[in-house]
Amino acid sequence: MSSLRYSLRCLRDLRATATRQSSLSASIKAASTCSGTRRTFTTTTARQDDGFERLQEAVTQSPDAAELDVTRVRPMPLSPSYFSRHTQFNDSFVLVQDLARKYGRLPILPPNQAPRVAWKTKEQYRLAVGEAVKARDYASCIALAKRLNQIHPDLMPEEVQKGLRPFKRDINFYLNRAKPILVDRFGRSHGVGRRKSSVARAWLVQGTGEVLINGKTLNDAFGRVHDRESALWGLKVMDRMDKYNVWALVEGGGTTGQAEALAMAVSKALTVHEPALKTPLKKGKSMPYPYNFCARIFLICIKLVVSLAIRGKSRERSLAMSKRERCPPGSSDKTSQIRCFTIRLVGYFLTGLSSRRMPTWGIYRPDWHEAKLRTLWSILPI
Amino acid sequence: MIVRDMGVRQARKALAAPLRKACLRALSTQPTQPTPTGVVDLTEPTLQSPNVNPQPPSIFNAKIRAPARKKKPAAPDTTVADYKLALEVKNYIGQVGSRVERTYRPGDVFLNPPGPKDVTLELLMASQAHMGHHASLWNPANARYIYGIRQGIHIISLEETAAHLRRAARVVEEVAYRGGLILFVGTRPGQTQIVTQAAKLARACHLFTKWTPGSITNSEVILNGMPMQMLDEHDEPVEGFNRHLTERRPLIPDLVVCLNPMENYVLLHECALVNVPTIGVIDTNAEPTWVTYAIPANDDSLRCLAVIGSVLGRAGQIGHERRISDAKKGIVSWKTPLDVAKFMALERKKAEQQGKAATEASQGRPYVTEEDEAGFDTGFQQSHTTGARSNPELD
Repeated sequence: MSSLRYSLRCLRDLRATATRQSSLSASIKAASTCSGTRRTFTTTTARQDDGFERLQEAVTQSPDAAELDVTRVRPMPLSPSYFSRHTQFNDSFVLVQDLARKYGRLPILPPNQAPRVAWKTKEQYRLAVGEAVKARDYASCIALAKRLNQIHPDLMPEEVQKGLRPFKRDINFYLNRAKPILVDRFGRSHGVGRRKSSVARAWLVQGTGEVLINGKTLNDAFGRVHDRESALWGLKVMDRMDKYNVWALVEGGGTTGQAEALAMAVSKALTVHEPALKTPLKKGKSMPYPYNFCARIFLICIKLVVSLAIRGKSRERSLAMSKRERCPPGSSDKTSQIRCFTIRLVGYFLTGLSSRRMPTWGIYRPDWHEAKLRTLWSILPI
Repeated sequence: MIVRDMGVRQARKALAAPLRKACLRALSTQPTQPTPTGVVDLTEPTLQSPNVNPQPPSIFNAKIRAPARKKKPAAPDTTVADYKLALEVKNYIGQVGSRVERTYRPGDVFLNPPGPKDVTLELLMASQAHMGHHASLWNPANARYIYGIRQGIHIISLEETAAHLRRAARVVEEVAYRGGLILFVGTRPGQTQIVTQAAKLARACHLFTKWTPGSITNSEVILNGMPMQMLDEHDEPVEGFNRHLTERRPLIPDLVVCLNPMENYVLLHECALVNVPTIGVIDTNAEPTWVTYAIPANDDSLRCLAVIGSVLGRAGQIGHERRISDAKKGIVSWKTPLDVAKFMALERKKAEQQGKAATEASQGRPYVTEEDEAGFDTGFQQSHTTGARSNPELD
C-alpha cells in the first residue's frame, strides 16, 4: 500500500511539473481525442488523467534545458492545501463547497428523479487519489456533491459537472441496459439462471410439454418431487406446462440448486415468449393464487406485534431476549426460547418489508410457505 | 341512562331491522338474501351472490390487493421556463418600490472583502471584535489590550485591535511582496470559507483541518512527495526542475496566520522552533506570547474573523500585485533559495562538461549523445524510445 501510494505521488509530481507539452505528444493527443469522439455510444466517461501519458511527457522532456536562462526561481506548493496532507481531496472539497454556495438556488429535481450517478465510495476515492481521506470529511463532501447533482439537468452549469467529476466512478453502471433476449429463428428462447453454485441454461419452444434436462427426462433428472416441481415452477404457475417444450443444461451444485436455477432459467425464457408474464412471475404472484403473498405476511406481522403489545408481552420479550443473550442456548427455559425464535422471525419479516425486498422473494409456493406459516402461527402465544 | 330515551332506543333496536327488511322486501322486485335453511342450493354457482356461504374470516384467505396506483397525467416540465421567467420578472420589477437600506448582509464580507484601508473602529465594533471572555477567564498578559469590564465580560480596546490589525496587515503585505509562503489556519467549524478566501486573495496556503503535528519539524516524513512547482519572478512556472523537486525537502511556511491559536498550540510551537513568524487572533483568555504578532480580538465570532481574514488576505493581495508590477520593472526583492541555487550551479557545471564532451566527440571520438552520459532516467528514456531492451544489464 505504501509503495502504491509512493508511486502515485511520483506520478502526481510528474504531472505537477509537466505543464508544457512537446508538439509530438500534442499531435498524438489530438488524434486520440478525435478517435474518442468518433465512438458513437459509450457508458464510460473519458478518463480525465492519463498517468502514463504524463509520465511519458515528463520523461521525454529534457531535464535541464530551460533553467540556464532563469535568474530567480523559488519553490512554491502547487495546491493551496499543501499543508493539509490531503491536497487533492481538500481542493475538490473547497471547490464543491464553493459550487454549492454559488448554485444553491438553481431549481432542483426531487432526489428520485435526479440522474443516477455511481459515486465513488470512500475506499474507491482513497485508492484513486492516494490520500487517506477521513470518512467524515468524505461523507460531508459527497452529500454536497449529491445535492449539486440534483440541479435541473437543463440548468446544470458546466462548472458543476467538472467539479463533481472526481467523485464519480469511471463507469456509470446505472446507464447499462440489459441486452434484450429474442426468440431465434427456430422459435427458441434462451434463459440463464443461477442459484447457489449451479448454472442452468434453458431453451423453450412452443410444444406439448416435453422436458429434457441434460438429456434426461424430468423424473430421471430430479429424484425429489419437490425439485421436479420447482424446476418448472414458472411454467406450472402460469398454466403453461403443456404449451412449451423445455430443453435445458444444468451444471454445478446439488440437486436443489440445480432445480431452482432451472426455475429461474425457465421463467426467464418464458418471459421472452410472453413478456406480459414478467410482472406476475417477478412478483411471485401466480395464476391460481392471485393474492399478494407479501401483503399477507405483513398482516401476520402486524397482528403479531399488536397482540404482543396488547398482552403486555413486550416487557417479557425484552426479558426473554436478554436472557437468551446472556445464557447459552438450551440453558434457558423452552417457552422463552420459542418466543425469541418467533420474535426474531417477525423481525426478519418486518425488515424485509421495510427494505422493499419483499416482492422479489421468489415464487410463492403454497405448500411450503403456508406450512411454515402455520407452524409459526401455532407456536405463537396468541 | 336517561329514562325517557330508553323507550326510543330499545324500540328502535327491536323494530328497526325486521321492519326495514319487510319494507325492502315489499319494495324490491327481486328476491333478497335467503335465510339459511337446510336445503341444498342447486342454482349455478355463478348466479349465486358471493355472500351465500360466508366463510369464517381467515388470514390465509383474506383477499388483499395492493391499492391500484393512480397515475398522474404527465405534465410537461416547465421548470426551466419558470426559472427564466422568474429571473426576468425579478430584473424587471427589481428596482420598483421603496428602497430598503440593508446595513448588514452576512455574505458581504465575502463578496466585497474589506482591505487594510477599510479597517475602522465602526467596522470592528459592528463585527463584535470587542467582545472578550468572562472576566474570570482572562489571561493577565492581555491586560494592555483590555478596555474594561461590562456585564461581567472583558471588552477589548478596539483602538488596540485596529492598530494591531494594521500592523499584521503590513507584515502580511511585506511577506507577500518578498515572495514568501503564507499559511492561513482556521480549524474551527465554519472557518473554512474565511481561510480559503484569504488564501485565494493572497495566493497563499490554507488549512481548515487539523494541523498534523510535525508538518514543520518532521516535514520530510509528513509532507513527503507533496506536489511543488518552481516559479520565477513573474510567478510563471519554470520547467526543468523535475529532479530537484522530487529530491528537495518539503516547504516550510514563511508566515503563519492563525485564527484560533487556542486550539493550535502545536502548530505555533513548531513555528517558534524554526523561527517562522506567526500572526494570531488573541482573545482575552489566550496567551499572547504564543504568537509573534497578536491581534487582540474576539476569536469566537465568525463575523469578526471574516473581517480579519479578509483584511489580511487583501494585504497579501496588495503585496503580491506590488511584487508582480515591480518585477515587470525589473525590481526583484527576493533571492533564489540556497538549495535551489546550489542545484542550478551543479546543473550548469554538468551541462558545461557535457558540452565539452560533445565537442570532443564531434572532433574525434565516436558520437555519444547527451542521454548516454546523463543518468538513470535518461537511460530509461532511450530504451523507451528505441522500444527494445538496449541495456540488458539493467534487467
